[in-house]
Amino acid sequence: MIRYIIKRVLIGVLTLFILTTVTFFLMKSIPGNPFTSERFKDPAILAAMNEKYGLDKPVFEQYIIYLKNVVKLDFGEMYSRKGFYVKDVLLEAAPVTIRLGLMAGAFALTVGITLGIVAALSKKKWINNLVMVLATLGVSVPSFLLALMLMIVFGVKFKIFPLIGLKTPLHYVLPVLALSFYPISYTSRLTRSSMIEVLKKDYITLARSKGLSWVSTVVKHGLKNALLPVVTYAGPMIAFLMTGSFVIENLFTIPGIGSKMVSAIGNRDYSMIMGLTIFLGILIISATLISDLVVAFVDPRVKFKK
Amino acid sequence: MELSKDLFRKLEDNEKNSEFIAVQSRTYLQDAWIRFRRNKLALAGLVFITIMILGAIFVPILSRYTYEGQDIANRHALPSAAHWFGTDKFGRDIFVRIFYGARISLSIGFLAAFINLCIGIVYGGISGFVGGRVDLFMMRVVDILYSVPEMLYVILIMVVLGSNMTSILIGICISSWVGMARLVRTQVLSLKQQEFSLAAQVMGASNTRILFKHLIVNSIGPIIVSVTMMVPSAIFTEAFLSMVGIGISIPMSSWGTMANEARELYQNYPIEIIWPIACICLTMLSLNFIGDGLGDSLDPNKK
Repeated sequence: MIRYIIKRVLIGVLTLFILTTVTFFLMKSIPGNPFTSERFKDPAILAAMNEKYGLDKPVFEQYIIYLKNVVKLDFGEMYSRKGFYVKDVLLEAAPVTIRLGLMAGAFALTVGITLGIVAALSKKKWINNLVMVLATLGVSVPSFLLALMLMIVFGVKFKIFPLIGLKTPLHYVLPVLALSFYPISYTSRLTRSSMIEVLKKDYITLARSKGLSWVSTVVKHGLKNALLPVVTYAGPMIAFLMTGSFVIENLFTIPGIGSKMVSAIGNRDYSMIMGLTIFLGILIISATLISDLVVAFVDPRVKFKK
Repeated sequence: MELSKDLFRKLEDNEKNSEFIAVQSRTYLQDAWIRFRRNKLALAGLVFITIMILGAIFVPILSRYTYEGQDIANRHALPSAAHWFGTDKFGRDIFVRIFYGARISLSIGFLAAFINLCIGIVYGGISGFVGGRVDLFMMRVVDILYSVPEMLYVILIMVVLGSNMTSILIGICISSWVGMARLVRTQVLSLKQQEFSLAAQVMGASNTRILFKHLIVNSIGPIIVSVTMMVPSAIFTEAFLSMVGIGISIPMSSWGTMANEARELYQNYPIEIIWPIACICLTMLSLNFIGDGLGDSLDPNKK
């Protein structure tokens, strides 16, 4: 068990290291630097600027410095706004995105698991069909199009929900809905099929024949086993929610990581892009790690090979 | 053992054909096609995708409008005989732009799926077939690539190489072959322990032959399904990037850029945003239906 944890953590750290390295050298491979613009025509000023920001050093030395800073979560100064630090922007934007993501995630898991269980247990065909139709739609309709449609219907036509920012709880409704639709359909599909699978198992029949009531068989024996694949999905889901926020935040003008990323790309703000990429990498890799470890703890059948 | 003559008798004439198989023997793919045809949704999806592909090839060639030709006098026109889907804010014909966008979206989707298929089969096949340390190492590489979301790779590549189709394709291909490689590896791992693989080995088939002619061919069902599912995900990535304004650059049209352009004015001209949305959704739905249909029809156990 401990070996497994160590192995997973090591792979996580290695992944982050590679991501940082690749990001750094990709950004360095772009010709020019932030100061090769009109404002720094004078070579002396340009040299002074380069020296101040360490851009006159050999690339490898810059890389070592950058790595050391990344360990301290220091991603340097923004290229597009002088005097502003990437770290501060991150600290300001991250809670917004994480809060939105957590809400969407919790909502998706609750609704998805409930729908999946209902579909698996229900004898009525139309309930089953309804859930399957919903699941197929959810996989096929991209979140940003759903967001657009929600905005047009509930924001513009009926004016039920506000569309810009995140000031009141009402502001959260549409972004959370748009963001969680895909995970809802995915989890409901996953729960349904694994629940049906589990209910066919011998230990369910055994529990029933020993006189356990239907409800407690389903809850104690069925659900516990059926939910394992869902826990495994939690990691990828968080990755989806984080990258999905790029466009959702943009549409709803939410000042989170996603909209910062999009504007950084628009401004060619390389230090910001690097910082955000690595930060998102850290978030997503730790989320996957945690969900894998949870599965390992919960499910005694997971074998720990070397 | 003694075989006496009276154990045998001559067949009557009407018995001679008793072992004749009247049903034509069908190949695996014929069987699959017959099962696929029964699935109405999948068939509808196939028809829709075929129409889109034909439209993407012929509409931009045959139409009298081009994707960038502007007609300022005729902006925001409603659908009419002249402009079947209406015109946009520059007076460009939406019908042509939709099918020009279909060219970009569909070619990104199919190209990405094809490249992923090639890399995935070779990588996963070798990893599963060779096994041991090679497998361990190759799978670690896959784990590492897999743990960073595809969108980040695409964005990094686009920042470096600029906003165009090639960089989107490269970005998608860097990471998404990983899923295919995992699938192929699992298939190969389980198939290589079966008797037919041993038989091929005993008969002296080379490793390459066993891998590609026996193991890969036998796992073709799940592979095809997974390729079909890759197409919509690549189309999604392109539309996503174009939607936030960092994808295909103007004046070229893709469904994502069209949705993005129409978004600014959707309160006044809602019809303009409906076309790209409908195209993306219907294409993704169709491909998903086809994938599900193939999944059922290619699996010999689901007869």
